Amino acid sequence: MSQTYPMRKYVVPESVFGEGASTLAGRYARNLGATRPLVVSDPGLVAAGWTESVIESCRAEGLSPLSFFDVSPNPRCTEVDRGVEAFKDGRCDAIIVVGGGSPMDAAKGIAASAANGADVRTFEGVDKIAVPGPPLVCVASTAGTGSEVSRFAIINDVFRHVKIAIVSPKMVPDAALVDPRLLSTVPTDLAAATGMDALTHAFEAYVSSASSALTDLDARQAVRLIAKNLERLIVDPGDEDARGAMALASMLAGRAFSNAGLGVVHAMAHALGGLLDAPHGLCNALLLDAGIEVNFEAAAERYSELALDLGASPDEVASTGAKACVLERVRALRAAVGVVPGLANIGAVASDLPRLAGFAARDACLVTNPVRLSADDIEKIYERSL
Amino acid sequence: MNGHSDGQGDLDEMYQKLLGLGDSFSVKSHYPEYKAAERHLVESEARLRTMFEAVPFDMYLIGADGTFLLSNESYRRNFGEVQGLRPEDVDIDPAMKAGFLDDLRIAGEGTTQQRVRAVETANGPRWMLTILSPILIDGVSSGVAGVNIDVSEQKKAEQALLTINEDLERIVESRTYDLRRLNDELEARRKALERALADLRNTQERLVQTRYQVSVGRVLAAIAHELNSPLAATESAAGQLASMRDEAVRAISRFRSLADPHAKLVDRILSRPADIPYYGKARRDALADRLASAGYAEPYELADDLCDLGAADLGDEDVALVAGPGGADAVGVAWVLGSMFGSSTLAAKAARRSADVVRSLNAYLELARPDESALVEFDIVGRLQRCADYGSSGTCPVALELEEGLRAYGDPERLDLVWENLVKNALFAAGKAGRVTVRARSDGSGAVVSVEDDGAGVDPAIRDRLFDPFFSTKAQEEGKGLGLDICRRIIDTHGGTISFESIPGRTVFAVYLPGRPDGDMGR
Repeated sequence: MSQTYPMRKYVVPESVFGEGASTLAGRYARNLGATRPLVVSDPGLVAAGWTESVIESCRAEGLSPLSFFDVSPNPRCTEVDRGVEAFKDGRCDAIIVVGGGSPMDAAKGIAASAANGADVRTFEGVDKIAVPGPPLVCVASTAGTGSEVSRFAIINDVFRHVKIAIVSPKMVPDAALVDPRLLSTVPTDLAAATGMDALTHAFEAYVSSASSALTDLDARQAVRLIAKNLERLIVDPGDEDARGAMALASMLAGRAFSNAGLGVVHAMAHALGGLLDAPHGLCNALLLDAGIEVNFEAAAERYSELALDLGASPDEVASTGAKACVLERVRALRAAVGVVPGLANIGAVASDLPRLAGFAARDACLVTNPVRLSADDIEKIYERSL
Repeated sequence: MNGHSDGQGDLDEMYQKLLGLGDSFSVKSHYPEYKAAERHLVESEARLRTMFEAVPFDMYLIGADGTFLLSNESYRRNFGEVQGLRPEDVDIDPAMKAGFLDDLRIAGEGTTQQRVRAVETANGPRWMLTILSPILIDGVSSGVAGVNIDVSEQKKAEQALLTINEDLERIVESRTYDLRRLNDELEARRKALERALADLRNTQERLVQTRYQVSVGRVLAAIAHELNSPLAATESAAGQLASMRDEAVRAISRFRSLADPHAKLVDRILSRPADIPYYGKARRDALADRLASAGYAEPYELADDLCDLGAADLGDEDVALVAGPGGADAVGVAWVLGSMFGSSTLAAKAARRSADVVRSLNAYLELARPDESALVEFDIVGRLQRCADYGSSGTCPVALELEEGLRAYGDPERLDLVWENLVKNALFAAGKAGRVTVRARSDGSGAVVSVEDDGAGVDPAIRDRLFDPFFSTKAQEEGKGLGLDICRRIIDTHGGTISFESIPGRTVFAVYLPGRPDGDMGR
């Protein structure tokens, strides 16, 4: 790194963190000029009642909310199309999304597609959106995705069986409302996967070739919070401190990767998730250690700092070596939250790997990976993780 | 941080984009756009407002809340300032207002209303066109835009045009009617002319025919007259000749009784049959040879004479007698007597035949001559019943369908000739297995008699000549071809008509006889 403080931009939406933040959704929408917001959510959150409370907040503000709950995990481009239709048919003027990564990314896709009159798949890549979408208010319901503060959206292209990464400043929401209370209804396995997702965000942002002083703060703090609280939350889902800490960690990790970018782990996870329709957080959890192994030499110092953040003492790092130490800490946390390693466990087979590597090599997330990797390199990483 | 290796141009570009330092992304980055948009709106509004105010007719906008948002100068001049008022509260003709409010409501629901109304103004009655259009925002009606345009001039012009059109239509209609009437009249005249022409042609034909018949009649009468005396003379001469012949025969009988062998020879020669066959040369030569054998020097002339007299096969005794002395003289006497007999017989026959012809010509001419005194009212049924008798064992029977009590006016005797002719013709046409029906019925004051047969019908090729004199389809011996001509002449003298229609299997000759000229016949 030739400069200590290279010039970097840092964009975050207006954010509200803390218990009760979700009740502000209606007011934020109204302040952004909405009269008929489209409320995007998924059936799980609707069942939990969080969506209804957000809709209620809209009504309380005199808005006429419309609903679109037809979103599945790993949101599909076809769902985005239907959402665009609902948005247009309802003559909506804003979007409020209540949910984890899937509804939020779907909502971002709907916003961009509706504003540009183009298929969401045409936005794949970096900065491909011409016109900003309508006002977008995100109410995060999981601790992991960070999408509520990020310029990323991941959409499942069901025609190519691959997740596409859309990276654009126009994807940054207008308001991020992070209310830890919503995490109380998250199932344990989802909490584990999303927690590992947040950790991966923080790791990849911190070693990213586009990292900055501002993102470093977010990334390291996120890693520290996750190291201390993820296992606690899995063990005791009623632990409100752990829940709040994870909600904050997720948001910080989101700010970090949104501005610094991600790396090979996400590129590979997107390809994997697209092919197997596997949960995104789980894919990241299974690939994070292999990512560290291949990137370590390019960012050894940063990895050793992360080992410290994960709870290792300087002595421990010094004695076991930074690489082994950070790998050990990551794998230990993964095991502690109940994730069994091995891509084969989620259905990956060796014959899939060349194709997965091909897709991953073209993923936008690879741009900021500290090491330039070819498809062959990536295929080898998949092999090691199988 | 590792830099990227060379040859990764697009990745570097992507990386730079990701850093996002090329643009400043903030809400306020759109400020210039907003200002530009606002400027556009302001300019646009100014232009529109200028147009709105300047148009020479009323223009106004009514908002979704049902009050006037805007009205232009023209409208304000007519109705005063109305901004914020409801149309209900504007001072306009109440009769007009009700209709206007209805249209306004319908326009507010999304359908443009357009109507021309008569309005009383200080300047007299005017026609106003009012158009009310919904202002649609995202497909939802959010108020109404309206205009009132004075269309009195157009209306006047329209009505003038309408009047002109109506006038034109009337004129065209009337002209069309006139033309049609004229056309009909012309057509009627043309038909009348055609009829007249046809009549003329018929008359001409009849005239020609009549003239022809008259001249034929005259010639025939003259011939009959001229022939009468010579024929009478011939007849009388022939009679005298015959009596002379008889006298000669008697004298010869007396002569014969003299028992002179030559007298007896003459008697034998003359006793040959009256119809003498013609003997050929062989017979003549044979007789001549026999005469030569009997010692007659020049036998040929004598043999010829004998053959002419029918005596080609004389016995040997007679041959010897003829060949002997005085024989040739006896043959000479016989030849003179024989020739006289023959000639007188021929002359008498010819004279009788000539007289017959003349008589029939006279009868024919007699028939054609109308005889008013012979016309009487008579029982035609009784007369027609005789028609059944014209049939015979060689013909089919004649059926009668006669209207009971029917009477006719005419010459019963001569009409009988007509019925006989028609029935005989029909019987001839029908043949033995056919059917002939005679019908009679009243027709107005007259009577119609028809004769129908089921024969082969009249050949179309000869229909025109059917009534011509001397025309016949029968073999020469069976008819003189005068029957139908006579019939027509007789009917003509009665002032009636005779006609026929014929198809194969049905031929009808119909005779119409008019009633008594002075009235009813009291059937």
